[in-house]
Amino acid sequence: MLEIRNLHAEVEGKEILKGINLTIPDGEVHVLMGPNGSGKSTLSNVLVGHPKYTVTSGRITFNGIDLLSLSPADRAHEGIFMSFQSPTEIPGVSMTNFLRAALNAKRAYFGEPALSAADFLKLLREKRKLVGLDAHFMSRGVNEGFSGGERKRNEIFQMAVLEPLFSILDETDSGLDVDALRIVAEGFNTLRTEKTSAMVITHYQRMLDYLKPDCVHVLVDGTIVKSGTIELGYDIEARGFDWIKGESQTDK
Amino acid sequence: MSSLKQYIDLYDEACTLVQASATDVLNSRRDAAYRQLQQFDTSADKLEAYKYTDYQALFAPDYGLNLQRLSLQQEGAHPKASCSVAQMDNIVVRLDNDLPIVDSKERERLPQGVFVGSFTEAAAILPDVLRAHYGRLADLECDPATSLNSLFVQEGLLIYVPSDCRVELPIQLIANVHAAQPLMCHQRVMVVLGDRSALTLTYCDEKSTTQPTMATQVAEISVGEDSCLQLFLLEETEPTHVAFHQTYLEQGARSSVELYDVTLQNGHTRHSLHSRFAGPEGRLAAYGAIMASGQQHVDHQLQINHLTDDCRSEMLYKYVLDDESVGAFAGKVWVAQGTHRNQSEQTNANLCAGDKARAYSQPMLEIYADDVECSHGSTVGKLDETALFYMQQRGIPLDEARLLLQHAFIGEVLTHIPLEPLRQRLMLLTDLRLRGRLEKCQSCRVADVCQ
Repeated sequence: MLEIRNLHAEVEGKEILKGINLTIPDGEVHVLMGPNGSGKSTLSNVLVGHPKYTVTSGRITFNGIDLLSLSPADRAHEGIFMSFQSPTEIPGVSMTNFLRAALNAKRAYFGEPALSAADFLKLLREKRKLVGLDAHFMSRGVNEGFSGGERKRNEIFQMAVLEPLFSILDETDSGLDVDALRIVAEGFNTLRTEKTSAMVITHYQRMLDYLKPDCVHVLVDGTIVKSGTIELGYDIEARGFDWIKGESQTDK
Repeated sequence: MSSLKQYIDLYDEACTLVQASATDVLNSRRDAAYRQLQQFDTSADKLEAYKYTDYQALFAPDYGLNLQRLSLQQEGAHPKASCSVAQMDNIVVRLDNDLPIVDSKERERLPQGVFVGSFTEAAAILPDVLRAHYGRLADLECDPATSLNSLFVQEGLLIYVPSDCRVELPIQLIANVHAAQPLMCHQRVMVVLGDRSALTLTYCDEKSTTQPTMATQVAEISVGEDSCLQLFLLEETEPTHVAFHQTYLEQGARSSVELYDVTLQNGHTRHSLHSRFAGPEGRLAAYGAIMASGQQHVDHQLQINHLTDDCRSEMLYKYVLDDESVGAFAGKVWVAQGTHRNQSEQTNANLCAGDKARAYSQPMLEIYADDVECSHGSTVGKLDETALFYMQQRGIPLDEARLLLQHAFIGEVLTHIPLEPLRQRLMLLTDLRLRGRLEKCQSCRVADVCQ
C-alpha cells in the first residue's frame, strides 16, 4: 500500500505540490487527472526520487517503508516502477545488458544470486510476447531508434520483466495509435495482481475504458481537489476541468 | 636552461659509449639529431604540437640511461610474456626496455622471407632494408622526442615482410619497461611491408616497475602498394610512466591501414601519428579508445597528409576522462594542392565523467584542393543525467549506471575492431578498467582470473 501524507515538493525553488494526501491500496489502479502544470508529473517524479525535485515536508510510505529515505535504485528494488512520459535513449547500452543489470541488481538487493544467462533470455522471450516487441529490439541500444509507440511498449515490457509492486504510468497513452494503446493496456492488465497497484496519469477516456480504474483523482494547483469513481473521469472527458476548479474555489 | 641540455651534455660525455654498441645505421643519424636537439634547447619558440604536453617538464627529472647495456632484469618483472587472448594465436616478440627478444620457436612460425629481429641482426641479414628505411620517415625537425630518441637509441626491432607475403598469424609485440632505478629508455621499431603483403601487429606497452620511467618510442612504418596493415596499440602502464610515442607512417598506392589505439592505464602519454599517402587510393582508418582517471594525461597529435588522389582517411577518437585526468586531441588532415577526390572524416568525442577532468579538442582541416570531401566534428560532454536517472529508476545503482554509460561511449570505438577474440578481450579489459579492477590484475596476461 502506498500512503502519501501532506506532501509538499518544489522544483528549482518553486513549490509545485502543496499538500498531497493519497492512499492507494494493493490491487487497485488509481487514475490521476488534472490540467497541465497541476503537478501530476512532479508527484510521479517525487515518488521515484528524481534528484531535481525536493520534498519540503510530508511523508510517503510504501508497504510500511519510508520511501523518501531510499535512493532511486532502492525504491525500484522495493517495487516502484515508472513508465516515463518520454523514455530516454541510451545509445550503446543494449536492451539485454540494461535489463540484465537491472534485474540482477534487484536480485542482489534481496540477497539472491544473479539469473543464469539461459534463464534470463527465456524470461525476456516470455515477456516480449506480452507487448509484441520483436526480438531484434533486444540487441539495440535502449530506446535507440525506437518509434514513439515502440518506446511506450518497451516501458511496459520492462515493467513485465521487473515485476514491480507499484507502477506509475505517466501518460503512457500519449502518442499511441489505437492498436498500440490496446496492446499496451492489455499488457498492463495482464500484469495486474492482488498485490500490485498503480497510479495512472492520463488525459483520455480510452485509457479509462481499458484499465477500469478503482478510483479517479483530480489534481489542481498541487493538491487533490476531487476524488471519485471512473464516472468522474468520464465527466472530465465531457466537461473539462473548469467546473472542478470552480467547485474547488467555492469550497475554499 | 632547457631540460634538454642535460641530454646534450650527457651525449657530449658518452657519445663514444652510445655509438660503440650500435650499428652504423643508427650512428649515421646521431649528428643530425644532436644538432636538432640543440636547436630545440636554445629556441624560445613553443611548439604547437606540444601545446598540451609540457615536454620540458617531463624531460626534467633525472632518469638513468642504460648506455652500458647492463642487464636490468629485476625481481617482479615478467620474465616471459604470453598472450591471454582466448582463441587467438600470436607470434610473440618482446621489447625488454629497448632490447628486442625473439624466441627461436616463434621465429620458426614466421613465413619464409619474413624477418623479425634486432637492428644488429638486420644489419647483417638485411642491411639494405635497414639503411633504406631507418630515419627516412621520422621527422627530427618537428619533434624533440624523436630527436632525443635518434640521439640515444642503441638497438631496435625490424619487422620486414617481403612483397607478396601475408603473415597469417598476428605478431604481438610486448614492450615492457622495467628497472630497479628511474629509467629512460629509447625504443625504436621499424615495420616494412612490401607490395601486396599483409600483417597484423599488436603493440602492447607495459611496465613492471614502480620506479619512475620514461620511454620514447619511434616507429617508422612503410606499407607497400596493395598491402594491408592492422595495427593495435595498447597501453597498460602505470601512473609513474611517461611515454612519447611517435608513429611515422607512409602508405603506397591502394594500401589499407587500420590503426586501433587503446589506452587502459598510463601516466603521461603523448602519441603522435604522422601519416602520408604516397600513392593513390590508399585508406587509413584510425580509432582511439582512451580511458583515463586520477592524474593521467593522454595527448594525441595526429596529422594525415593526403598527397595524392582518391585517398580516404577516417579518425574516430573517444576519451573517457574521470577524476582530474586530462585528454587532448589535435587531429589535422592536410590535403595537397592539385589532388583530387580525397575524402576524410574526423571525429573526436570526449566524456568528462569527473568534475575536474579536462578535455582539449582541436580538429583541423587544411585543404589546398577543390575536389574533396572532408568533415570534422568534436564534442565534449558529461554523463547524460537523464539516462543516469532512467537507469536508476530501473534499479541500476548509480555507480553501475555510470559505468554502463562510459562503457557504451567507448564501446563504439571497440566495435570497429575486426578480430573477434581481440575485440571481446578489449571489451572485458575496458569493463575491468572502468570498474577500477584492472590494477588488481597487473596486466592483461593474468586478467583471466578476474573472469
